[in-house]
Amino acid sequence: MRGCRDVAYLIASDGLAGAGWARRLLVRLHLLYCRHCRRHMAELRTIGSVSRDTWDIASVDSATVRRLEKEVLDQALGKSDRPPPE
Amino acid sequence: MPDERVSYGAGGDVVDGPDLAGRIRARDPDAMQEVVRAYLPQILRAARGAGLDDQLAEDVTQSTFATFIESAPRFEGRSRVRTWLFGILYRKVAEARRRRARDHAVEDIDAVFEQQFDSGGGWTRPPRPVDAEVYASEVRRNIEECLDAVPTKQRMAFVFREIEELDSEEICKILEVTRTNFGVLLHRARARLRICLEDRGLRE
Repeated sequence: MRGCRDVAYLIASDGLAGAGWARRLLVRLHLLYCRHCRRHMAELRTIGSVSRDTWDIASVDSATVRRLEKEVLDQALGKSDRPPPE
Repeated sequence: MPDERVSYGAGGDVVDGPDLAGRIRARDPDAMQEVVRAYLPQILRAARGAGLDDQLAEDVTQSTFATFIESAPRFEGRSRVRTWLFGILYRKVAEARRRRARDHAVEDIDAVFEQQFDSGGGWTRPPRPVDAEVYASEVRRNIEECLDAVPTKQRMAFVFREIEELDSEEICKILEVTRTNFGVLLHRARARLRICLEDRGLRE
């Protein structure tokens, strides 16, 4: 591994999950002493959690969902003459 | 009057069952209804997460289900219904974003990433210490605009992983990429986001 560069790449590509135990151990050891890579990992976690909050399922309002469900099902069951959007 | 909100889990309701594929192939109205009710909110959210405005996200959602219903007789049940739907959505989003010409030429993110490290692989521009709360609030303020600059395939890899919380195996099927390619897409999306946030003054 080429130090921080490879650790940063492995973390950002979700590559740790598929890595062997030896590589995972090396990354863990690296993170113990490298505060820059720990910060990098923390930043990516924050970006992920803010994204989940921003596009939370609760932001999908039920009136829109019900209307779309009805339109889609009317199309599917042949109750509508209007073609679906392309 | 405040909007009534719908409560769904991140993974949506799983409606796959042993006989569902057959019912979908037969375009059984009850099966169609189950699928639409279970997955429409998730598809709409992912369309919005893909950067489409509300109207376009609704159109793409409708169009995704129209294609799903049209192609129902070909559904063999080898993948989950959700995987199939997200695959259709991905192609619709790519088409919609192409029409809006959002995938304009952008800087070579790999080169920008490499510039952050010296020849020995050490950081040349390490992440600076920023208070976690401050960082989160700045990300919140800028995330939508920064994500807008991410090319479609990278963005959808990010949306499926971070927002929809799908596992990598399912995302690879949806995007029709290998595990290695998915890692590259995700790394590029995250690198673009970090650098965009940095350019917006998140760093000293």
